[in-house]
Amino acid sequence: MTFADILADVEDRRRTLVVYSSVDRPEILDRFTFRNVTVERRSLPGETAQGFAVVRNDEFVGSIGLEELQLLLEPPFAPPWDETIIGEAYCALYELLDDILFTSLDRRQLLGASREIENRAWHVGSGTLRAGFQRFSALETQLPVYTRLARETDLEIHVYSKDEWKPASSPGFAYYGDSHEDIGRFWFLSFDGGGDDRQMGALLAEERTPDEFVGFWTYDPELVAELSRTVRDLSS
Amino acid sequence: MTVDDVCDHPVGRPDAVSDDVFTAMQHRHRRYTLYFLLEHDSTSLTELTDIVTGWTHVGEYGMVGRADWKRIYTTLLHQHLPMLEDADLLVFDRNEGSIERTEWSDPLFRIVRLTHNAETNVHAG
Repeated sequence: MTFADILADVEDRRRTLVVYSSVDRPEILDRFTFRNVTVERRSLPGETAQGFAVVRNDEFVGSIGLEELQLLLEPPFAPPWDETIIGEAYCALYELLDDILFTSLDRRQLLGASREIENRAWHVGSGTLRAGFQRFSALETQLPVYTRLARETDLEIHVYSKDEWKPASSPGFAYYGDSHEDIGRFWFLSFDGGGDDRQMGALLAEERTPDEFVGFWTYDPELVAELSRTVRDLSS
Repeated sequence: MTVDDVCDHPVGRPDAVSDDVFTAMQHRHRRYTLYFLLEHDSTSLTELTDIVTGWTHVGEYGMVGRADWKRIYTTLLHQHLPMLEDADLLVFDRNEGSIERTEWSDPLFRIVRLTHNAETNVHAG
């Protein structure tokens, strides 16, 4: 499978988002655009501020208040080990909206989703974390996070970028400067759960226009494994 | 006619809201069912479960999931909807899973609306 195949697989996972609110909230809802989600709108009485959204596949997946949904638009900047911010509520929000193919994610929103997956890796403390960077400058910004993860846990960290770079060798940290065209076109991240399927997580996004990505995150073990396989194949 | 009958059915006040309504409104899930019916004449058991689950957990992020949904579905089906039907507030078709609001009197609408505004923090409504 290629990255494009994986995006197509996710696009087939249909979801419905039913928004219940008494007043329109375009400042929140218009900022989310999806490929595989049907959005429906149902009115609530009065002028209550307590709007909420229900996510369904063929069954109820979960629900979220519209105010809480805003966190996803501008996630806080925090390292993956800061569990005062990247805590249970943060994780629950990302879990609710997994396998959704967003069409206009920005860098900050992808970083927010990445932090959730990296938090799982930090928490488990073992297993393999693979991260692909489109640009060396992006890798440079995140390098302190990954070197600390490698230093303070038993994680195996594999970092991919299309640029030539010779990092100082350190245990648990491997760099693949690769020439495959997909490395560099996609932002990807995967964590194999370190033996615990429930902790698996992955993210894949393609920058179609500057700072506008089509992408998704997932906690589906099969999809995470597929993404990891694809990354391994590309770099071998 | 006994004294109890008089109390249950106040003479000369056909619009009066029966005590059954107030009893029905003692439970949060039954109240939120009525709140939704302020706005919609009908719904389904599946949608109502989505609404009660989502609305009563607003502010808790995505902590509410499939297990909560199933629990709420079951109590709506076996407990709350029959009670609301007994209070003549709605008609529930178990086979179709459909729910229809009955003809509510103006005082009843007012009570449900007031309770809704108080409970959901409506500033103007």
